[in-house]
Amino acid sequence: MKNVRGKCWTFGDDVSTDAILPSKWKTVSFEPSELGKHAMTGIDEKFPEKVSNGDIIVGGLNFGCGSSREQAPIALLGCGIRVVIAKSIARIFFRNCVNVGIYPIEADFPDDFFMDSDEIEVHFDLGVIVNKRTGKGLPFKVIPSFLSTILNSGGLKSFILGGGKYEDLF
Amino acid sequence: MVADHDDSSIINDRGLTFAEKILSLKSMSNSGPGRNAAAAGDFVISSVDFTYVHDVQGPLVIKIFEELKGEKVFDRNKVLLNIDHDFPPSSERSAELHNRMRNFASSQDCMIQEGSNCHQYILENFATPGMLIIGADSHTTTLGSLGTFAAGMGSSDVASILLTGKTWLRVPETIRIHVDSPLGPGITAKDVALEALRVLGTDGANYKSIEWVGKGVEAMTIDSRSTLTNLALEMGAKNSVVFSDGVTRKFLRGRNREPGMEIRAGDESPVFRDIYIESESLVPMVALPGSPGNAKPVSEIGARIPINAVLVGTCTNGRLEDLRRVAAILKGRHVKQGVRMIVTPNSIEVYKQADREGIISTLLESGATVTSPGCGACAGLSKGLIGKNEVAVFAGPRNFPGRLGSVDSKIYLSSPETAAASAITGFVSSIEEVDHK
Ligand code: SF4
Repeated sequence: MKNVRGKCWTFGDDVSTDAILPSKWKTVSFEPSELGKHAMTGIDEKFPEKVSNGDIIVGGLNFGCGSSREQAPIALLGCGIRVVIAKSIARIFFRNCVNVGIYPIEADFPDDFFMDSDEIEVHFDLGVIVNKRTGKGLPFKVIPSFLSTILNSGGLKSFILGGGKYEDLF
Repeated sequence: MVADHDDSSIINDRGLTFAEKILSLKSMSNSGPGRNAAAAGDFVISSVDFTYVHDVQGPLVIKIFEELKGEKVFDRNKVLLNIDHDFPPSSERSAELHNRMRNFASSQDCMIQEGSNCHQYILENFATPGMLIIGADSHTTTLGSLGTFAAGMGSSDVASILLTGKTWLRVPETIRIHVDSPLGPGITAKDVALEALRVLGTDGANYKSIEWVGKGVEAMTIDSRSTLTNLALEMGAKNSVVFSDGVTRKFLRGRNREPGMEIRAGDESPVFRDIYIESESLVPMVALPGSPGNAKPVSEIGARIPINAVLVGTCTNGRLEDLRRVAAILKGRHVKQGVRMIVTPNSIEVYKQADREGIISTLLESGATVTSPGCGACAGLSKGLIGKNEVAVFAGPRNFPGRLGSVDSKIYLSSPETAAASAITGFVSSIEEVDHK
């Protein structure tokens, strides 16, 4: 995984998939670009206008809890999000992120570590996030290597289409 | 590492949890150090005994399956397409998506069902103890009430299961919730689960397996047990189980189903955490708006909270036992003027039986509206949504902002009893506030 740098958007605890992609949008389309127009509107109506390609979402505890709709991470992907950082990530959302090609990062950080619009750098090789505004670094747990294999191929679909098999992972 | 199991020694092992046992039996390879059993923390590749998808995830699963150049599903007898979230369809779009599912089912010659909620339909017809079940829905955990390992996943994972019949899983650590004595009158499995949510919060069981044990659980019906395993998901759990026992066997016999493979945790198996619910002194519980983790006794809400709507149903509380309780409270009483009460039986079978027992007419006479079976307003698509600034009491699974419609509405999560009592008083109320006849 190449290191990334982007602007972050912060959210609190228990951001559910209803907030990430409200129910009324979950079946309108399955295309990232369409779903992206409604990303995070359950919590911030203006989010799709504010966000730009390469930005990073920062959540609190239990980010992505609630329904299993894969449309939620697809919506984030559709507005250019490639990395989600949170204090904890609900398990189905975590899997869905990997499967659609978003890197999920769980890390322990104080509430004021990230502020909206902070420039941050994620060093996947070192397992460290650096906040460029404060200069502070934050270690995180790197995901198991077989998940990186899936992520590096661009998600589960690309992994399988590229001839990947679960049996080869470990 | 290829797993090499000896089934009976795993089933009888005193040191393994339920999740460790069943995932050992189902795994074809694991990341562990080469013992025949998988341990918490290992990753395993497992074979899946049953998989299903509903009409919100279904069309996406089909799309991914086709993009994966899938031709035939791995086993047509182990796959169910289930139309329940927006049925009958409330929009042309839904109608069209349902047709995609019908077309897929007919081209694959696999099962399709329309009307009943997916979890309930599988409980009624397919799940047997010892199965590994993966559904494209978070509340798949519900099926653990029949002694299965059942977990929810997203569309890509389920599409790949359709293709291969396999998936990867991390063997979860276990949280054992003890309910050691039977519940007092008017207290239900929902109150037990809300109490557990108060203790664990909404991520206290993230990635974990929840085992519900003790005399209080053994005394419960399959309906009640299913409420527990359903709400374990709101605590973050990967799966949740009540071990198969006499109650389970009787339930299955009554439906001409096989008893399956009974697996229970070894009595010396280490757990991540034990939680003890003081079931004897438990009182009616409610989760305040915003999160199922905001649980507290109804008596501690403080102010009187006027309500606009009451909803009973869903894969949490739309079973026959729930409807019976609501009807018993509403019989001879009337829903408060200005409050709309909407009851959604969870399945066609529940609906039919409720009708035979006179429950439906009792509900109608009391002023409640009964909708067609399925998910109802819980799917956020139709049948009883709530608007801006409205307040609802919901005997359902979750109360995140916007769950039942407007993000500017408030949802109190409760048992069916508390919901029925609130419908009568017009305030968030426990059954104690309604005069006993
Ligand atoms: S009843 Fe609600 S929680 Fe259950 S499957 Fe349907 S939408 Fe999901």
